[in-house]
Amino acid sequence: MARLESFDFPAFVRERARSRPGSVLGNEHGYAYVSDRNTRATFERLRPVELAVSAAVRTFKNVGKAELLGHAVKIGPRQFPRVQALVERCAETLGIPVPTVYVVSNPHLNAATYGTNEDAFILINSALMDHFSDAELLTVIGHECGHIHNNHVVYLTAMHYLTNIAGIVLRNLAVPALLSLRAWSRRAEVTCDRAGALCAGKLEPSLRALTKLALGSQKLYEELNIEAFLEQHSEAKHSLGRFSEVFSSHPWLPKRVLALQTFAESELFRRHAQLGAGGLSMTEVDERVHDYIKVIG
Amino acid sequence: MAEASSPARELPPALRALKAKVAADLLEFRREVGFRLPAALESVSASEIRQHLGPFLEHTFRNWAERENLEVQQALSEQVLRERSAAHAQSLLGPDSRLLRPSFEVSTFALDASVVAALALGLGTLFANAAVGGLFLLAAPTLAAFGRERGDRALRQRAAESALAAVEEAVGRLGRELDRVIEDCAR
Repeated sequence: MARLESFDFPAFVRERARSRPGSVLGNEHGYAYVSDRNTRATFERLRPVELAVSAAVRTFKNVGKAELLGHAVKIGPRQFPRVQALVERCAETLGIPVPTVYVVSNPHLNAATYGTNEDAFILINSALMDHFSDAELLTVIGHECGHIHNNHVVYLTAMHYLTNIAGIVLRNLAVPALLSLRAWSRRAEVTCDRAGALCAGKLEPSLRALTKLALGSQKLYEELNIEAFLEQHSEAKHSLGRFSEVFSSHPWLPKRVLALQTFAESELFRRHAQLGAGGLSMTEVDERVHDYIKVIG
Repeated sequence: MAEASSPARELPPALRALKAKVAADLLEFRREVGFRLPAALESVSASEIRQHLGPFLEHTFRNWAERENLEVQQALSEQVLRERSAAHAQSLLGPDSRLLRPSFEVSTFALDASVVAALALGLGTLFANAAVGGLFLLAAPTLAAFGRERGDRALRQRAAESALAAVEEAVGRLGRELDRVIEDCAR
């Protein structure tokens, strides 16, 4: 008779962690932007606060989730299986549980992840489905899965509540907390753009997806000149108006494209995408990316 | 009813013995998983259970089911299908090794709500009475930590129950499929 030979769950967990894209360089989260990792390490030292925030988020999430079931469409094996397959592929690449994804009727090109690190859900606006190809959608879903993989979700949700609810009640009292969270969020987005590229296995769909976010016009996509678009960064970086980015939760789009192009030159990405050996170390990548991402200094 | 059950009774003794052996193997697999699972769940964190238990069970079941299927095929070609071509044995259907992903839904609503209440009371009374407000604010993370511990315990229990149910379901499906394969050989 066939015997149950091995039942070593911890060994299985270790092996799966080892086979993740970031693990190419010995760390499952090796692709994460160092400024994001360091900020999260600081958050994690405030463990009791995080636990309290998680509990609060879970309480309100129950209400939000019920509303979503009433207003949005939940993706699953029997609902848009093509999109579900993309979600499963991203989850498998990053080694996270398959998250719940909802399509929300919304004309803005956007997606978001809320919930807690243990139970996260992704919202994809319907406009993204219309404008993006499957390869581009894979990078967007991969980006959102990156938030889950890097334990960003509870802070993103807290930022959402602070912006939309507590910000109204507490007004100016919430501003310092929001500014700090947004500064971290801009770094976290860099990490997750990398996760999206890793899930797609190539750079081009990620770049197309980012430029589509900036453009928003299906008619002009084919004509867009990426080099000219990136020159906007050089033009903006000396203007006084650049400081307004401190109020933004995402880095400006030319910066994100430049940061992602730099990541694509890394040894980690080149190995994952089977582009051959060699490439920049992650320290070199992060130093260059820091120059693009910083708002002050 | 008598007609439906008659093919099973008409099976040659060798195939009947093979069916009984398959049933015993499935039972043994289920028993072994049930025996080893609690210790396996204790050796990893709650988040690792959420993340990896489903794929681990699927991997374990698939490997075992493939070996069991191979043994059944070998037994069929050796004992029963001597006169038939080897190609026939090769064409037997493989086992259905899909396994339902275990569910990890654990309700922590009551404790979560008390954390929110402590936070709200703390913030609400902080400016009127700093000591009372501070006490409530301190109580929130303490309650949350307690809730987390309880939640993790509940998750392990839920994961064990749900994993066994998933294995039970998959084993039942595989058993039916292997029975059908054996019965088909008698025709």
